[in-house]
Formats: sequence, C-alpha cells, structure tokens
Amino acid sequence: MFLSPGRTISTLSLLLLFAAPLSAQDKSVSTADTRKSVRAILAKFDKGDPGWKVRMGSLVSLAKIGPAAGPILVEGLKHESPETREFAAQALVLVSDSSAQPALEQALADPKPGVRLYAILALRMHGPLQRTEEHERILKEDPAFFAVRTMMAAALERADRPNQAEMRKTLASYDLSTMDSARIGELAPDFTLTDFTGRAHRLSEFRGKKTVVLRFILFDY
Amino acid sequence: MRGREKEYDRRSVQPLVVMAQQPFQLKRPKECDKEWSWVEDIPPHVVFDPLSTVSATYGVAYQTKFRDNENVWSSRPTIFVIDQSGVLRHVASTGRNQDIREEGIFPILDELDAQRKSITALEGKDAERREAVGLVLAPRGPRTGEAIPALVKSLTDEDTRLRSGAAAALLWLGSRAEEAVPALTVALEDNDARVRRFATMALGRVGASAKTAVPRLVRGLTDEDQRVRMETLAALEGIGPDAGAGLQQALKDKDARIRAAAAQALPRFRGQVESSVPVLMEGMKDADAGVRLAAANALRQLPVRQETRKPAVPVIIATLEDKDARVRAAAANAVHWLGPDAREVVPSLIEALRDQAAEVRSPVANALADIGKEAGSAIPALIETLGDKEVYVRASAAWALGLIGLVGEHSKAEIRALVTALKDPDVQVRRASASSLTRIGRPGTDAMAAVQPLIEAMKDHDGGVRALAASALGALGSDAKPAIPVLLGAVKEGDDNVRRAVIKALAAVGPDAEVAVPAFIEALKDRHHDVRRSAAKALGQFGTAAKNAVPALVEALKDENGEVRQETALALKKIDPEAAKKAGLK
Repeated sequence: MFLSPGRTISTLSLLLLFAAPLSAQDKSVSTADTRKSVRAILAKFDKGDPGWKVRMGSLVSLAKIGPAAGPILVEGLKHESPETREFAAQALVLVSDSSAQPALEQALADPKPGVRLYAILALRMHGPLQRTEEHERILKEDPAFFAVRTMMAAALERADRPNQAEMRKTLASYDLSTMDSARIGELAPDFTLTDFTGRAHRLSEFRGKKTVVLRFILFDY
Repeated sequence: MRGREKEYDRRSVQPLVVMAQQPFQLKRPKECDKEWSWVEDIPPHVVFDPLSTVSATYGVAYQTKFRDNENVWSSRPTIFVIDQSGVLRHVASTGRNQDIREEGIFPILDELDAQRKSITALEGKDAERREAVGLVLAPRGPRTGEAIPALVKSLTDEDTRLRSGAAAALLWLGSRAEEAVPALTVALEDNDARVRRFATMALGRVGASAKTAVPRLVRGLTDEDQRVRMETLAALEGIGPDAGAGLQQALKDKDARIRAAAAQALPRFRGQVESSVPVLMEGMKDADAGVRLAAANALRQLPVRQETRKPAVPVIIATLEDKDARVRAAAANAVHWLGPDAREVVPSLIEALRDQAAEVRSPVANALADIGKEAGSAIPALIETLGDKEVYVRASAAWALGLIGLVGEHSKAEIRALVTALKDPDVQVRRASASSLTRIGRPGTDAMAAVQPLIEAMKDHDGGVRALAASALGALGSDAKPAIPVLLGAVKEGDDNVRRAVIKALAAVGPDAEVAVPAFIEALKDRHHDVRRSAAKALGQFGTAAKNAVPALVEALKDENGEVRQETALALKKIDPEAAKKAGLK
C-alpha cells in the first residue's frame, strides 16, 4: 500500500472531522437538535407525573442520547414544576458527568424528596461523596428516612456503584413494545437479572423444571 | 423465605424476588435504634432490577419513580406464578402498598394445582376435549382460542366434574376467553359452587369485555358460598368502570343484602368515587338498617373533592339520629371525612354526646376531637361526658378536650375537669387526661392549676400516666417549679419512658443548678440513650453553672450512641470551651 503525503494529510483531516463531533458528545456539548429533543422530553413532566410508561419511554430516549443530554437536564433541575425537577434528576443518574456536580449539589436542598434522592444517586456515579455539612445534615435529618437518608449513607460510606455506561446500554436496548406485556395464559416474558453476588438468573432456565413464583416487593424479601 | 424452603421444595417451586433498589442501597434500621447496618447476606433468590426494565415488562413499574408521599422506591407489590411450561398462570396484587405475605403464596399454588387437576379431568371425555385441554396447558398464540367451543359445550354437561373443568380451563385462557362470556354468564347460575366460582373468576380475567355479565355477576355478592362472594368482588374490579356503574345500579336492587353488598364494594371503584357519593347518600336513607350502615361506612372511604363532600353534611346530621345505634356510630365516624365542613355538624354532635348508646357516644367524642379548635362550643358537653359511665367514652372525651385545646371562657372548667379525670379509676382515662394536659399546658395559663394534681399523678401506679404527667409538668415550664422535688425523685425510675419524660421535664422546668446538675450527671450514665442525650442537653443549658459536670461529659464523649456524643459535645462547648478543646473538640 502506498500513500502520497498529500493523501495521508487528507485522511487525517477526515478523521479529525469525524472525531470532533464524537469527542464533543463525550464532553456533553449538545447540538441544537439534541437540546430540542431533551427539552421536549422534559416538557412531558411539566404538568405532573405523566405515568410510568411515559417515564420509562423518556428514560430510554435519554439513555440513547447519552451525556449530550446533560446540560439541558441540568437546566431542568431548576424548573418550577417539581415533577420536571425530579425527572431531570432521575435522568441525570444516567447521563450526568462531573460538570453537573454543582447543580446536583444545589438540588440537594430541593423540597421534593425524589429530587434529593436522585441527585444523591447522580452525584455518587462519579465517586464517593465528601462528608460536607450539607451531606451530613441530609444523613441525619432528611425527613425521607428510608429512601433519602439511606441513599446518602450509601453515597458517603460505600464505594460500590453501578456503571453508568452499562446502565445506559441496558436502557437504550430496552424494547418499549414489551412494556406491560405479561398476560395470564401466555408465555411469561423472559428476562435475566443478577443477584447480590452478581450472578445472573434467567427466567427461562427454569422452564421444564420448576414453577416460578416471581415476586415484586416493597421491602421484605 | 426464611424457613419456607421446604414448602417451596415440596411443590417443586422456585421463588424469585425482584427488588427495585440498587443492591448497595439496602440498609436497615437495627431493631428500633437509629443505628443502621448494611445488609450483606441477601439470598441468591433475590434479584435486582434498578432500571425497572423487568418490572416495566411485567407492568408493575411503580419504581420508575420515587414516590414522595409513600417515601418509597419500589415496584407495585405483585406476585406472578409461572408454571413449568413457562406460562403465566396467576397474578396477585394487594392493590395497595403492602407486600403479599409469603404464607399467602402457598394457598395460591395449591389452588392452581387443584385447577390443573380439574382441567385435566376433561381429557378423558373425548378427542375434542383432549385437544382443547392441550391448548390450554400449552398455549399456541392465537390458535389457543380454538379450544373455546369444546369448553363452552362442556360448561353445560350434566357431569359436575366436566363443568368445573371447563370453567377452570376458560379461566386459564385469560383474556382469550372473551368469546365464552355469554356461556360463563349462564354458568354463574350453576348449582355447583366450584363452577360458579371458576366462571366468576374467568369473567374477571376477561376484564372490560365481560361487562355484559355485570348485572348477573353482582348477585354473586350474596352467594351462599363465601369464596364465590370474594371472587365476585375481585371479578367486578377486574371488569372495571362498567362494573362500578353496575354496582351503583345494584343499590336499587330489591334484595337488601345485594344493596348492602354493593354499597360496601363501591369504594373499590376509584374511577367512580365522585358519582358514588350521591348514590351512597341515598343508601344512607335506605329502609334497611344494614344498607344504611354499609352506605355510611363506604361514604367515608371515598377519596373525593371537597365540593363533593359538602352536600353530605345534612345527610350525616340526619343519620346521627338514625334509629339504629350502629348506623348512628357510622355517621359519627363519617364526620371526619367531611373535612373543613365538619364544623357544621358540631351542634348535632353535642346533642349526640347524650346518645343512649355508648357505642355512639365514643365515636361522637372522637369526631369532636378531629374537628379540634372549631369544636370549642362542645367543651361543656365534653366535660360532662368525662363523667360517663363507660370507660372508653370518658377516655375519648378526655382526648377530645386536649385536641380542642383551651378555649378562653371554658379554660378554667376544662382544666378542673381534666384534673379530676387524673384520678379516674380507669387507667385509660387517666392517661388520656394526662396526655391532654401535656397538649394544652402552657406557662402562664389556667393550666397552672394542674400543677398540684400532676404532682399527685406522679405517684400513679401506671408508668404511662407518670410519664405523661411528667411531660405535662414540663409543658408548664417554670410554672411547674413546685414539682421539682418530685421530678428529681423520679430520675431513677425503673421505667425508661418515665425517666425520659422526667429528664426532659426537668430541663424545661429549669431547676437551680446545685440541685439539678448532680441528677443530670447521674443520668448521663442511664441505660437509655434518649435519657443520656436529654441529660447532656439539659446540662448544656446551665452553661458555666454546670462546671461540675465537665468530667462526666468528657467521659460521655465516648458514648456508644452518636446522638448522645453530638449533644454532649455541644454541652461541653457551652459549659467549658477550654475543656472541650482539650478533649479534641473543634
């Protein structure tokens, strides 16, 4: 293979051309189109909870957009609708990078417990939290005892955390047409989930062997 | 699953529990203390779905969102039973934010087993039924519906076993049984309870498309078989709004038992709560007492807008004079539901405090308590009720006085009455009275008159009364100074609750440092952390006057409880900043 010096240069510049938008996306610089679609998603929450199906669809869309959605979601943390703020925080768990940190720290003072909860979860995606006065206060005094305080305790005390890119991948590949598709008298939808030790369990593994009692629970297993 | 492995194994069942949280979030309060610990021993049958993908697929994705009002992040508690062929056979949900208790699963599994046996009993009849059974047990998509004609035919067979097998098979077809709705409706009249029950359940599973069955289905609410009655309710819920409308109709049925059952069931139909209010208001005027009772009890369960509640005021007032005592009590219990409009009922409630039935007087007093301040005009009547011959009526009256609060013109009489009730022969009344004094006592009010009687009450043989009396003294602040010797004497009480209350009360009353500091120093070594914390806090309030406590406080900096350590550090800084610095506090 022989390349003239001129062609080498042009190949390089071509590479750079492609590389530019890619690295821009990594640094969560969003294009006008992205901004528009993220705003449209956020708007679905302006008048209250649009229901779990819309929420799920929105999370899947944002997982597909990735970190480029971050800056608009950060704006959403200050929206007047509590439901929008909460959803923005929830979505930032999936796409936030360190640039979202100051806004997420501010969101810890949000009156809506759900915003505080997701803000903590989003903050700890990039490393354990510092023991600041505000964090300690939430740990000791947050009225949402089980959820928010527990989350803060985990953020301060524990190093284990999910892989954000993996989470996005799982959600981005979720087929929304399978939502609410379990029907009595039909094959149960298959799935694979992991246990505490990380071992995978697949529902269809039990087919032909055992009856499965699948229990979705609040607290007590 | 704790200890239930055998129950699962015996039935060849694999439990799989799906949690919405991230594994790292699992932290539990250790007993009742605020000390937490991470859960590290989660059994392998618990799997995690923090992104909600599986619960979304199964339609139970509550946890896509953290619910503030419930303070939880979870899925909608539901169980799915999936048989060995991988077919979903049963879905059960408590319909509220409650986990289904594990022991509730085994009867479901056994019931499914019994249904399977019923279905397979059809196989022996002929090739057509055998094929139908095959399709039911191993569904093949849209082809599965081909089983229906054979099953419908069997629903009218003279052999009871075949009829119940066919009904069970249609139940297993789930929403595919829609074509069989007319036949299933006829089967509701079967003389065999099992057939009726399976047919009822099958209709519920078909859902909204089974609405034509509602008028007949409603009659199942009074079936002689209890399980049929239960399944009828569930089936109506499965059918949804059309069933709710059918129930509203059923309140005009000629059978009073049907009317009562329909009234009782109506609050379950959330889509129709607003339109159910007038229907139930009519029901409260029914000729039959059972219907009136059911309607009054159902009314207060309807989560409706305030405007919808208001028209019920005159109906509730009229029902407070019903000739049946149970109905009058139900009306009193419904007053709370009226919200702000409940104040319009106060004059009638005052009348009703003289009801001849004690079972009415107690809820009436409770209704006044719920209204609170706005029920001030009821105070004289409540004072009178403190002399009621029934214990629980007196206790309700004492509670009500505390919740209504001190009302200027009545306050002297109110305090006098509560003070008298402190010597009631019944402990519940004494507790209620002390608790009310805790609530209404403020320094510089008529409540000062309660000081001596509360000191007396500190000798009560019931710890609850003593603890509440101490708190009531604390509420009076410096007005309760005469109680200091008694309170100091109670610092070493055996009852944890009493000591906690006493230490807090002492801090509030504000004794002189020379008598109190030694007592608080002693309390820093109490076995109960709340007592230790309160003692540290109280010492801090004395400032430099509590210098003698410094060594004990330095020692208490090593307390096992974080809150005690925190409070101790604060106290030490106030009393002796030098010593605090020396002890390493910033």
